[in-house]
Amino acid sequence: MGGREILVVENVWKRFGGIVALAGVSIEVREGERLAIIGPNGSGKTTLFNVITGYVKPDRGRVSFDGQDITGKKPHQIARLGIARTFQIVKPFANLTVEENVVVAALSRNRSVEEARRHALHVLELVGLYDKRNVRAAMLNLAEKKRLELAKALALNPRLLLLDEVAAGLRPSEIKELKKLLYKINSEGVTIVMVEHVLRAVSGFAERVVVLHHGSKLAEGRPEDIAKDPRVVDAYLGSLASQLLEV
Amino acid sequence: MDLTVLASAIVDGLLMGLVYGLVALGLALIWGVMNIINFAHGDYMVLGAYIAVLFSLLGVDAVYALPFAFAVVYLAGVATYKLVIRRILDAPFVSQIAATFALLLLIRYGVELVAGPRTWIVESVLSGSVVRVGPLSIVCSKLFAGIVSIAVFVVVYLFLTRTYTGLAVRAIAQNRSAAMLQGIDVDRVNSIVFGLGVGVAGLAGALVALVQPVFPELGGFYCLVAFVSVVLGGFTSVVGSFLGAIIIGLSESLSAVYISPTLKNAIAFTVFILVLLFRPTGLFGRFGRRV
Amino acid sequence: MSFPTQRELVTALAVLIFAIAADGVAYVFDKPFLANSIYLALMYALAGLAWNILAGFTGLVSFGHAVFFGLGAYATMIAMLHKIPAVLGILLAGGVGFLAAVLLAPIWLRLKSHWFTLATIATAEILKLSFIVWPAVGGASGLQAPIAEPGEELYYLYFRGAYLYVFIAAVLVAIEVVVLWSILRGPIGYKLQAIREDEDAAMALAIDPLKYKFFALAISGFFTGLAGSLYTIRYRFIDPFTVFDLISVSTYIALVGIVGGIYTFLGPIIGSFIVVPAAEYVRSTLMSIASRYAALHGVVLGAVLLIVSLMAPEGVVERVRAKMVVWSKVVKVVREWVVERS
Ligand SMILES: Nc1ncnc2c1ncn2[C@@H]1O[C@H](COP(=O)(O)OP(=O)(O)OP(=O)(O)O)[C@@H](O)[C@H]1O
Ligand SMILES: [Mg+2]
Repeated sequence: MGGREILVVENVWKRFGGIVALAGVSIEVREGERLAIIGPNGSGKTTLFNVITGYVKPDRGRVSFDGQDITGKKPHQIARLGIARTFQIVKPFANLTVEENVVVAALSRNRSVEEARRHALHVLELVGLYDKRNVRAAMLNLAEKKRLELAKALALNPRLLLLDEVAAGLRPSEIKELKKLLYKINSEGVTIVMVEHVLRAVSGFAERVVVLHHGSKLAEGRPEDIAKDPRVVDAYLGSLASQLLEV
Repeated sequence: MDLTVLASAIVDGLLMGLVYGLVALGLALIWGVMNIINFAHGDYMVLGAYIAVLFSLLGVDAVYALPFAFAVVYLAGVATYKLVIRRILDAPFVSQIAATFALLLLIRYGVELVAGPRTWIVESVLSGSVVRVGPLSIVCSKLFAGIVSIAVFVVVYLFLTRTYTGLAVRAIAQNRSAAMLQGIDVDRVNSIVFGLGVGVAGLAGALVALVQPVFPELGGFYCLVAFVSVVLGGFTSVVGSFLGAIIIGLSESLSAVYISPTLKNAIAFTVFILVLLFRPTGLFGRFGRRV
Repeated sequence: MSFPTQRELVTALAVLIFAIAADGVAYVFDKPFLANSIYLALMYALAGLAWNILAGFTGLVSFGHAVFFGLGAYATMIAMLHKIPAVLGILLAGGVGFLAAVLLAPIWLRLKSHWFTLATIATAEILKLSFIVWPAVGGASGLQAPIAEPGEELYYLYFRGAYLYVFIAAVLVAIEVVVLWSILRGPIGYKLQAIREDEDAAMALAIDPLKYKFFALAISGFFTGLAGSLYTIRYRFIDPFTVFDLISVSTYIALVGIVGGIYTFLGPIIGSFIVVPAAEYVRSTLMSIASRYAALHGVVLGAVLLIVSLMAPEGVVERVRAKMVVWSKVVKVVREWVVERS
């Protein structure tokens, strides 16, 4: 653990019509860290990712990556700087094959299609989609599409990886495998921020957890402390608290 | 003197704008409910105009053509829905464009095939008479067209807000799958909406026939006006596009007086592109993008 | 699936060679109609391929390619009227098409899906209206190419019949095929298709959509401008109604792509060689039997477009390919059965 801050989110606000999606959120992520952000439905997790990656312009506040202000930059510029993300609502290139999907991503770091393909196949092996490489992406099931999201993000060779509910809908055995893979990637120096609904999905993986609620930070700490935090338990009340917080 | 010119340009633009509004309203309705962009919309309007032509050829006053124009084009719309639109609801965007564009070709050139490439001038009881209001003289047929347009708009509005079917229409526009879960027969409502949307345009076409010459390509210009109005009105809003159409009518008649009548069409096209560039969510509407 | 294959390149070039051979046959047996149909098919193939780099590969569907076609036609005409050799006039047409695309990009590329389509239609109409009222380019009455004196035939590319023109068109299409084929197979082809499929997802992969759309539009404008010059050198007379026409130019260009299949590289060429000769044949027969052939032509066009978009939205090329897959499976099963028996 440790290292300097790679991502700093400072007092970010975002309003959609009457809904305040983010109400002054500040988060720091250190290089090499494994951070989890959890929160109930509509608490602003995806919006936070959209702000960081340039899809949504914050009303107020600032985002900097590696000491550089990236607020207001375009998504493709931010991706080029080394931030990769997955989409909660998966966005495969439906009419391309799995391999072609990942080649598109790998082309950001490789000049020729041949090199990109080699890199893409390597990544596909990592995420376990190698056998499906010639399948049209539209034909994958949801779990596979989520892995494809991950593969595309990994093929960018990012420094910071933002994962929006990649574990949701996976079977426990699959989640275990996913965590193992993410561990490996993290150990190669990639910083990982993982958004999940439930604590269980990130426990045993995240070193630190941030809880969002109604667009602001409710709590922050080690996973086992978070599960016992009375404010967090309150926030989750009515949404099957015990199950969601179960470590 | 100058003021009279201005005032009559405003009255003229307002009345034409109301007729444009009927065309635009149907386009917005179909778009909102089915998410289909009907490129042939202006040509359904022209069908209505030719019904009026037919009436005057048969020696019946063209004013009586209005309900028939609506009914015939309504039925044509329902048939179109069953044969074409229903099959492209979930098709890729290119197929949707291609299919409604094909309808445009079929109607426009079908009309030309039957009625010839010539221009028709429809006479009615209203032709040639004017109403004088102070220093202004208003052409009777335009006044009639404007008043009928308002009446039709009110009827459609009441249909959408006060009837069970209208409620179903709005439910589908908001959320198709939720509406389906509630037991709404989406297919049936869609066919009514498509019929109603183009039927109202057909009625507008019969009104147009009272105020201007009719020829096969007439629909192109009206379709464009409808699109501009819908953009101004915030895309799928029926009321918004009606208001948008009035704005187009006004700016057109004012530019005909103060700039050049021959560039009238070019002005509508230019307004269209400018609005898309600077007000992509419409004057009265807003929508957000979700990632 | 939609990346151009080696086989598609070979097929495309084979079609061109076949076209030239058929043109030779037409010359020997004196069939001007056949040669003219081949010429038109090549002209629309040139424009259709250019159109499809936008529609099929980038997801931008234009029904206003008459913008580039018309400007190209005018560029070549005006060059010839200034005594510039027609070959340079053709190049100029490409340049003007390219320039028009670059200038329109800031407006058109802000718009998506049907808004893009509508803007292309509106732009073509605005251009048509402006050329009608612009005396310097002949206004509504159009422009006539200079008469080539004896000895100037090559200078002004003035030949009898369509026979020699077919060579010029085939060369232009061949160049386009090779250029587009190699571009679309490379990184640009991947990035354009990513943008077509999902622009937001493409951006997350460090792709700047605007940059690549701009590139596709500029190339498309260039080759469509060339197609416009083909019209001028062959027919020697142009006016705004003809070269900026929504139906016979913009719609036809889109139609050959849609009939052939927009998700294949080969689509527009095949589509063009199916649609154009058939339409020409229908038109020439109609002209002799029906006085309203123009309207009938429009109706037939609409019917074809409707049938294709309802029954075979993937286009003819994909259809045939799918059939071939089925057939090769049938053949395989039969062969195995026979082998088993013997
Ligand atoms: N583009 C948008 N336009 C309007 N409202 C939006 C938009 N994006 C998000 N919202 C609203 O902002 C709030 C926060 O949404 P967000 O998607 O960030 O929540 P979340 O924590 O990711 O929820 P979930 O767990 O369901 O994914 C919600 O009320 C949502 O409806
Ligand atoms: Mg979310």
